[in-house]
Amino acid sequence: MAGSETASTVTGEMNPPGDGEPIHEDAETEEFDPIGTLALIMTYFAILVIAWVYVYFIEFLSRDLTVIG
Amino acid sequence: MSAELEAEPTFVDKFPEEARIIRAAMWGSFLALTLGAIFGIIQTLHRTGLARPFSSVDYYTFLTAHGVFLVISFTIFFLVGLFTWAVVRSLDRPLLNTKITWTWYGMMAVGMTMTGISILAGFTSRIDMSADVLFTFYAPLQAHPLFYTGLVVFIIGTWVAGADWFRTWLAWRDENPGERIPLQTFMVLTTMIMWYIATLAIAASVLLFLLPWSLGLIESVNPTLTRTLFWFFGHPVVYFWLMPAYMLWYTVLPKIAGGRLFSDPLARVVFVLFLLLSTPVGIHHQYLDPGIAEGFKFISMTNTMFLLLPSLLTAFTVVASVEYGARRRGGTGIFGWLRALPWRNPAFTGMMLAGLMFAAGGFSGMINAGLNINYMIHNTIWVPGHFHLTVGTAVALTFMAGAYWLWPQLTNRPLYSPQIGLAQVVLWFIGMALMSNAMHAQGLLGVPRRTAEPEYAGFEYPMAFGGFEELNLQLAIGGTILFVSTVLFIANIVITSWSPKASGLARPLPPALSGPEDAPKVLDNLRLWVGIALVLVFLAYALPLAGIISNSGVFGTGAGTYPVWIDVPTAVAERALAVVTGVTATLVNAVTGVFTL
Repeated sequence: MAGSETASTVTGEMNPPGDGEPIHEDAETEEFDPIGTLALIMTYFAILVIAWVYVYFIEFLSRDLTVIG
Repeated sequence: MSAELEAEPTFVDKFPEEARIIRAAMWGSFLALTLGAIFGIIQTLHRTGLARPFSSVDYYTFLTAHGVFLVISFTIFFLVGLFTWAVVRSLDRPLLNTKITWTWYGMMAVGMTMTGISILAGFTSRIDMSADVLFTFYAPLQAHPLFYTGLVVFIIGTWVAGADWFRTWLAWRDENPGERIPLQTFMVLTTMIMWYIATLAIAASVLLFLLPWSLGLIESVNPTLTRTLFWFFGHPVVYFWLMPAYMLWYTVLPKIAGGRLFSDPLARVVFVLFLLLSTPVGIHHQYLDPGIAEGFKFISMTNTMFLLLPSLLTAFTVVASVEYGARRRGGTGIFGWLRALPWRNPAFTGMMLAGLMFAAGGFSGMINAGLNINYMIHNTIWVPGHFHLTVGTAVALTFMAGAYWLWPQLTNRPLYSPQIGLAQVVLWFIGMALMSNAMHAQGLLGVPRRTAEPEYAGFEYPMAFGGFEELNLQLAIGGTILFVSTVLFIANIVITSWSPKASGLARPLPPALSGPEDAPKVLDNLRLWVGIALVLVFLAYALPLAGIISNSGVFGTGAGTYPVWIDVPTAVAERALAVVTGVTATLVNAVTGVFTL
């Protein structure tokens, strides 16, 4: 990153007014494992799979076959 | 005074001239947003039949103005401002020569004014000018030459802007030998390389065909060729809108969430993948075009499916960065961390809702991208339903949220009302959820897009997820909420610009958890990526373009020009001639019949 981004900015989070919840600085040194992200992405894929199954029923099984040529 | 001296300098403190240019670009963007929103609500109420104060004849003029002002002017003026900020901020040096910067800004402003005038002139018959050709300006729809000239001037302006940023980066590289390209500058440069490649096609289409044709210098154009050249540009342009939004998601959103970007190398990989893959896919907009072999469409579909990869990588990286912020704020659990995020901050909530909408846009995008399943929704209002989720929310809402975060740092004035800002982004989300859902559902019923009066006498759309009228009502309510949301946004920004100045508004960006030192050096080899991108474009387009030209020639087979009018004397003369020819033929047949007896 550029020289402008010094280590002091790492912990220098300044939230806009009305948004000043404390930040747990000690957590930064811990090993970060994004399991919450995995959970959200799995939810997305579950919706995707359900949507595809839904499309199959709505668009194909509910209509007559269309044969061209 | 002492507190002011102690406060970290904002962007405008450090780079006042650059901040002035960025503000000018963004004002251009906000003006276009205002106009686009006005035309948007007129269309929403018109096509749903709730209020039709204007003639349906003018619908294409409203639609063209809505499309061009929003997807060309609003988005691109905002992103050139954002890119200027990103380059100057991440290189921590001023632009080389702001005269050049003002020049490209001036070219873009003049070009867009020319195009805008040619469109708006369509509302009055007193001026012999119109450009009701929609955002796609397909031939044989023909616009006034001013429309095309303005576009050319505008696009050349963006080319100069790109050159301005490249020169600034090269100067920085000389001052910092051996250093990695800072992430934001890397994002700007890869996006601009993609833009240069993409705009070559539209420049060729306009300068070689459409402009000479509208000036009357050439008789006809090959519509399939100009359409294909349009989509050569038309798909990467959606990434030109989207990549600045991605830049905000990658570099600003984690900071607002209280965290840091999860991975700098992954961000670089994503931008390289967009550079490589966003152009050789344009034919997926032409699945139903005759004149392009199915095989080429299949190749385009395959490339498009690969293009899902960088967006899925983004979903992972951005969400993981936000989760890191939530954990630092004390968030726990598999989903419980979501509660620890700063949802009261309009910049944060706006970008998160935009990302959520983009995920939904991904669902309909996959339908659009599928060669077979695309046939169901082609040319229906499903398609506008899709792109109002992508450019209309993922991009537009991110830009508005980004403005809430960036504007105070460009003006030294705190946002007038974060509460109104929060209400505004939530309203946008609700309005778009209603409008886009109704559009998708109507599209499945077969309701056409680009139609002033989609109801037909003696025909009823089949019932599915709600009747046609019910969905119309949903669409109109959604569109109205979106209009209100836009008004709130503009008002908040305008009032902020009159607010008293304050200090302590600087928001420095933290470095990534996994920094550029973890990224392979090859990622910064821009020449390599340009080379591969050009090869992929050649592979995807050489044969289809050759096929189109060999089928019907460079200038086509003389298709008519629209809008056309029926010349009454010519029509009568033709009818009379046809009658005379018919009678003569009958007589000749009779006579020859007699002789052969």
